[in-house]
Amino acid sequence: MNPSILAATDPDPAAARPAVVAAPALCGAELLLAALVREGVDTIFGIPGGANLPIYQHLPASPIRHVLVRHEQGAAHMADGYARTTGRVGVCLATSGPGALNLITGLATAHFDSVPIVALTGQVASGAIGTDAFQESDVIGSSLSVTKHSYQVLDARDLPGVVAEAFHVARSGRPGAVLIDIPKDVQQQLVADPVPERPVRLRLLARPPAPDPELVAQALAHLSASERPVILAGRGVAIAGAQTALRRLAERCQAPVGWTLLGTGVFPSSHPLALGMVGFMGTGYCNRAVTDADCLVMVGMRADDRVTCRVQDFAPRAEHIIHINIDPAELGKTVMADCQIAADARQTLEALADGVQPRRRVEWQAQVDGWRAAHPLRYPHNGQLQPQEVLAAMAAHRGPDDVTVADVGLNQIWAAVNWSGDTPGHFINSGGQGTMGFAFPAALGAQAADRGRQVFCVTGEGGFVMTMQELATAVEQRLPVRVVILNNRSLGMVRQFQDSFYGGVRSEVDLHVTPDFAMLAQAYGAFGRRVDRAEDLDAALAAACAHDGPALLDCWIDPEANVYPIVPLGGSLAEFTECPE
Amino acid sequence: MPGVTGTSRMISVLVEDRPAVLQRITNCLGRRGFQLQSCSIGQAATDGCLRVTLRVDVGGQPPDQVVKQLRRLVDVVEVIDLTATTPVEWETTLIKLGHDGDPSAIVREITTCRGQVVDASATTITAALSGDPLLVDAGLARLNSFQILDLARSGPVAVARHGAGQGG
Repeated sequence: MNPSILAATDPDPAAARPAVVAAPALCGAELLLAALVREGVDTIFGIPGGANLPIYQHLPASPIRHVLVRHEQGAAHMADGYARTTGRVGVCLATSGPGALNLITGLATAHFDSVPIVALTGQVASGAIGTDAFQESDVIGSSLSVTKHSYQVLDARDLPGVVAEAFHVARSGRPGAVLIDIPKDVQQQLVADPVPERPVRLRLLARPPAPDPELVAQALAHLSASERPVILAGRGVAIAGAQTALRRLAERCQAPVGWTLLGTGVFPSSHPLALGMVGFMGTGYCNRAVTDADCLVMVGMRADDRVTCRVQDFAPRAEHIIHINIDPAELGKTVMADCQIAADARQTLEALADGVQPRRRVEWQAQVDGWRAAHPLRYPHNGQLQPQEVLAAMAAHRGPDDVTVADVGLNQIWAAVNWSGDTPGHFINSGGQGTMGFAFPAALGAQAADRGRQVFCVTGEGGFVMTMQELATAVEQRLPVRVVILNNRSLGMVRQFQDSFYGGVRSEVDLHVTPDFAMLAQAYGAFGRRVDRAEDLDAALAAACAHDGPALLDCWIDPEANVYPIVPLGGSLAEFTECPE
Repeated sequence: MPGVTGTSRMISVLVEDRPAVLQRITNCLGRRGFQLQSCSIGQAATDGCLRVTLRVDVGGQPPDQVVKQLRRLVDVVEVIDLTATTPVEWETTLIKLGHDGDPSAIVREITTCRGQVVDASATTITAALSGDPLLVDAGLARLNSFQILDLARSGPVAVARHGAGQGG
């Protein structure tokens, strides 16, 4: 590499590490495991198969704990849940062929939501690559769209350097998924010589970019002149550790703060300035405030179609939109902000909070409070068990450090808009991909990362059956996840869409046959109980939370319960429909 | 050149010479709906790097998205949109023409187009046309009246006009 293209960057400890001297005749698998330990890996989620057996041969001698999953998709989601709740890189391990391909959904889920995970895949022996050998798959080609980067290691001597670089790529800048594919013979290749730990490419080591002072000055001028400012915050605020700066900025300029689905937790839900979730199924008062704002700050978020709804009518009264994202490609992609700041969220919010003119905006605050009162979150009281009642009962058993993992669908939105808390990483879900079946394995990953806190998994019966084989993993690993199934006997969100937007034709949404989940849990050796009435919730939750091991509550909720408010498909944010009185 | 539209961009990419790097570039473009119109890859001024010249139709998307998306690739060192700079562009085309035994008319036309005869047989002439893609277009238009047996265009390579370089 010609040094001229290596930008001058900070001396990263990884680059300055001394050469690693391998003891004579270490094999690739041992070099790999040692490199993982150097990266601080304490847990791997995986399952063995023909092409990763050399790694499994040496795994027992390593200090790394292994969680044996029942399907590779589960391993990827577990690594994801581990990463989202700890901020560390999650690691999953699969064999070649179908094993590697089973990771793809999990890689996409993590990568879409900027979650740092590293997937290790076994590959057929290097000499057999390209021959359509048994259990060969082109996992590099197959994973290009769902990873930040990938490596195929063809010489065991490269493994330490590749691992160091892969972890750096996964966690730096905008985090994402990275894959390392290792042929079986490379795992077995004996390396007698000292192996230099190849330094991470220095070009990749730039510090998180600071905001352009001119753009900060512009943003400050817009904010100071604004009568009706609104801040929207996404998961990027959590990744950057910018939640304190966000709160300081909001309080100093008295701007109300809404958040994206993935941003849940970046701003205290009980704060007087909190607007709740924005978007398609966001709170009416948040959507109303965004629609009326004259200055909109979007930070650490992408502004996808679920946030903007009809994008031409997004923030129609905003004279200025300030968009802050560490990934320049997100700026001007959907929403044309006039002030685009490609920079680290924390540095930018700190600069804005330091520079902004403290100002009270009494009229605007009163207006927002008026919308808050006019558009409260409502649900029907018809004698049937309502999901909001289940979530409220669950919240009473949830401590401040506990984690809630939501699946995808109605359960996800109910859980998100009814979640209260002030800590990023305490409410996680699959936002970008909307991967049904995410919650249960992700909850196991979160629990494996920290056994000292409760992890609640809120899911529907439709999503739970997609990855429920991991009940075996939960029991085997004694991971005491509390699974709360909001069972409406249908693919509920699809049913609501069909009712509201597709002519009321209910087509293939009823799940006539699902197992008795309480008995299923018991069959695996977990705690299981069915709940039909609100008055039984508290006792059931108390029993589940007291159980020493995984527990499942199958809560049969009102099958007609819907999410409200909701913006009709193709509508603008202001056109939300509310729960009928 | 064929397929060039008002939304075409000429993009120069400096990449590290690593496995699957071209696959990563084409995947990045394809997945986001950018139409690749031509692509050439070869040696760059920087050791260990390759220069990739792309002509891409961005359609209705913001033109800067193609540059921003390519910059996200880990192996990409630099991306420059040369479109607005009227870069120096160069392209090579090989064209094989058939004749009935008398190639003189073809050879005359090739000479007029400043092409070179690079191969010949009893019934065919193969010519090389090199230069600015617009000149290649014009030459091909003149040769269009002959029997075209085969045609291969390299797609343009490009560098910015003036100045020291474009980062490698």
